[in-house]
Amino acid sequence: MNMYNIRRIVSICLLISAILVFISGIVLYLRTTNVLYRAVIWIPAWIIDYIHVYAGFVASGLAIIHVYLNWNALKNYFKRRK
Amino acid sequence: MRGLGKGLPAVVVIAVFVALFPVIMGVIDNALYEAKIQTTTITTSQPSGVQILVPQLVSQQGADRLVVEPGKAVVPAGETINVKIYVYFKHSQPCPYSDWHVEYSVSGGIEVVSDDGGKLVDPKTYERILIIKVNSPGTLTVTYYYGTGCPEGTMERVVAELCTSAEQADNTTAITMTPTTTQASTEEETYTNITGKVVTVNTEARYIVVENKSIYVRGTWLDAHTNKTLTDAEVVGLIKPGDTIIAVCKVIGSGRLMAEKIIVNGTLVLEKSE
Repeated sequence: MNMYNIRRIVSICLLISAILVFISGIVLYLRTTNVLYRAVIWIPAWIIDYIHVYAGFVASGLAIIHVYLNWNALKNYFKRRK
Repeated sequence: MRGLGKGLPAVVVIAVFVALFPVIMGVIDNALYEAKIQTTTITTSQPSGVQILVPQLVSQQGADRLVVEPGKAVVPAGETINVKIYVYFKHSQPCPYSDWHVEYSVSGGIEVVSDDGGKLVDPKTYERILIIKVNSPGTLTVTYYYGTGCPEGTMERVVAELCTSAEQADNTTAITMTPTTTQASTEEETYTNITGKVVTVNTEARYIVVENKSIYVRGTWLDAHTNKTLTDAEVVGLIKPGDTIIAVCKVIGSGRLMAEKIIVNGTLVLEKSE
């Protein structure tokens, strides 16, 4: 597997897990509201908790690989442009 | 891209460790917790003259473990004994099925003179201490009900025996009941009226709190004005913190309040239909 494919897979997986964290975060937030919680009350809280926690850690792991694979590009962002 | 591939395996190992962090911590936590349960020793200090025959009784038909200490004891007539009830949970509390509860009943010549009400001593351990006066031989039946809808089990039950002489103790055997065994109930049905402002509404566990009293809502309900049938979750959903309610409750077990009729703000009348 070449570097391009690794980057592609890591980026797609990172995007999916980030979306899962985002959506489950919204659901968890809505559960704390006074009225809007009715829209999400049918989703068992423990399932959302699990998705949020585990997708978060998976996203963190993939982010480490993503930063490593894009390290040179990242370094350039911090360089002052002449 | 050159040179990037060399460090990739190390980065992947770190990434996998980070991604599996909650799984690794869960395994370590469970191992430590199991070790803690296994090494739990009896720490209950008993009045003089009390002879412990069975140190503890355990019921674990589902995932959680109910332990009663002691399981069988000889107590001089008229003396008291400290009985400890533990529930070791598989998952940390509070869990999504938070309406779990522990009930007990006594039969024979024993009476409960003190009950500390129980508390969580850590997120996975519930402890309740009873002081029981033994006038003549009797049994203490302790039942732990899992929360409504909990996939881990329905209930655990243990029957502890308290005798006043060693001879009586020899003639009986301490037993651990299975959930399928039915236990004759000697409890009478009592009702109480609760009036006040609603402090908390928990739609998930289907209970409301009125001035420090938790009132559980279960079963099928009827709106008295519209004759519309409502589920227990819908009934709880109709009640808001700050509402003034009058609730007629059935008192079950060790004081649990089960709503039978609720009048919300003097207008909405909800009655249990089954």
